[in-house]
Amino acid sequence: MTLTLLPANEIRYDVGNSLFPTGSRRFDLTEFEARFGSSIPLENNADLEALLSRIEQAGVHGRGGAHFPSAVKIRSAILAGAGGTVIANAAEGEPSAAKDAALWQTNPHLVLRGLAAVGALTQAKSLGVWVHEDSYSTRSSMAGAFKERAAAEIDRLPLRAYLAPHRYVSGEASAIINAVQGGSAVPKFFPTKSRAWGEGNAPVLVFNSETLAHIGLLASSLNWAPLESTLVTLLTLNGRYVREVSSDTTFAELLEPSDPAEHVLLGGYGGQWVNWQDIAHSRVHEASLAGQGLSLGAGIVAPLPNSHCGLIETSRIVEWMASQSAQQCGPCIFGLQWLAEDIQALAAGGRKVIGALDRLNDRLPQLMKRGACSHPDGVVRMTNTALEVFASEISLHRKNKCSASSTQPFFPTESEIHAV
Amino acid sequence: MNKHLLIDPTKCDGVGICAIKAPDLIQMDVWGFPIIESAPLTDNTKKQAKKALRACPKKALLIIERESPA
Ligand code: SF4
Ligand code: SF4
Repeated sequence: MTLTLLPANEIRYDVGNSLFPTGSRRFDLTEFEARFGSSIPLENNADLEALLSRIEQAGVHGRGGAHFPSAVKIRSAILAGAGGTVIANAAEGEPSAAKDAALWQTNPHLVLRGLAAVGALTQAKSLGVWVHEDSYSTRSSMAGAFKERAAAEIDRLPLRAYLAPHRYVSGEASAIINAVQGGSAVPKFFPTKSRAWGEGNAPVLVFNSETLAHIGLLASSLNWAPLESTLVTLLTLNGRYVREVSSDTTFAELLEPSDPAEHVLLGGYGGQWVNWQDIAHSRVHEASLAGQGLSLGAGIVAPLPNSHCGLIETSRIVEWMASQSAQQCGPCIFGLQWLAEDIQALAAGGRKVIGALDRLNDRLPQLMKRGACSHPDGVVRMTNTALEVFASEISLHRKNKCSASSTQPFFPTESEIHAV
Repeated sequence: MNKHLLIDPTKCDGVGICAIKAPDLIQMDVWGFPIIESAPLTDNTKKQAKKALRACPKKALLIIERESPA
């Protein structure tokens, strides 16, 4: 079978599940309400408490990478006090990721319903959506949804979009908080996590878009049973798909038989390389993966085509991630630059491999938890797993050989996304 | 609650006066930036931490109280 490479800026959806409309165009407000019903009433404390316990019982957790329980986050925001701003993060930083784009371009009202619900729960004074300024398709869908909500007078709280510069780390929570509080869109150092939304200014609470979509389902009057599902961006040579996957699905069931792979990048560019056989029969389910020391991270599953070299791809990813540093912290600026060079040496092969490996073993641990944000930590984690998983490829490279048959880059480093 | 020495890496410019003031707490990495011991401060290291904090020209260091090293 011939595989064709779709342009990296196209995504396809798995249709017909609970989060997406059937078809790849946007649900307008009428279609959305016909399918999901109106929002459940959130008039008094009893309504709010009922919704919060639904969120708790459904086990909704963050889907941006940290997988923190949403009910806990909402409860501590309630304790922090009223008058904050709740932000839906629609700025997935990674070019391989597409689930925010998929949600916002097809079912923005569901995310906005979740956002409004969290706003009501936390007694926020305003709502916002954080979106990359150059995500034009996402922004236009969002703008359409904003207009419909304004015309129907749905939102009681002011709602606005915040435009983020297109950089990987501008989707990082502390960067968003920094910007919404009037600073610039670069990560900020917060000595403790809980102070991250406080610090004298009005609190800012950032939620991942998929998390809000799940909360939106729970806040809908038509009974969408809390199906435990997760959105996965699947990146293969056939293209890029965003799928809604139920928690009993295995990775083997997720992949097409036409995507054979020995190695998979799980969680994205700051995620982990794993051997396919180690996850083939695991469930696509964060809690069960945690038992294997693994994580879905930002929900990206990328089986490396056997025609491609994991070292070369890792080197391309590290180089790109290094270019995405916000250039604020010494260890991140200099460390990632060095890392990119030594991984490049492994990819290039030959005599420099041994020296590079020694330095990597020595210096990689020094880079952990050294930045204001976790950007370098993700790169270090991904690199560490690459060194393990591609150990035999490294030996090949040392002898100036490489197992790959293709020199075409596999992982995208561009990111404007349109639905097809 | 334990006391810990922390660094705001966005402020630090990496000259390393702190490592001279707090040799038991701070080591310089190969790029010339300080690596801070994550364990709670002891009576001995608390003194060093305070010296480093005072000496830092960028006010990049701080001492906080928290449950665990996290
Ligand atoms: S760790 Fe890197 S990306 Fe994060 S704030 Fe510091 S310099 Fe920026
Ligand atoms: S003295 Fe301050 S600025 Fe200098 S290296 Fe130490 S922490 Fe950084």
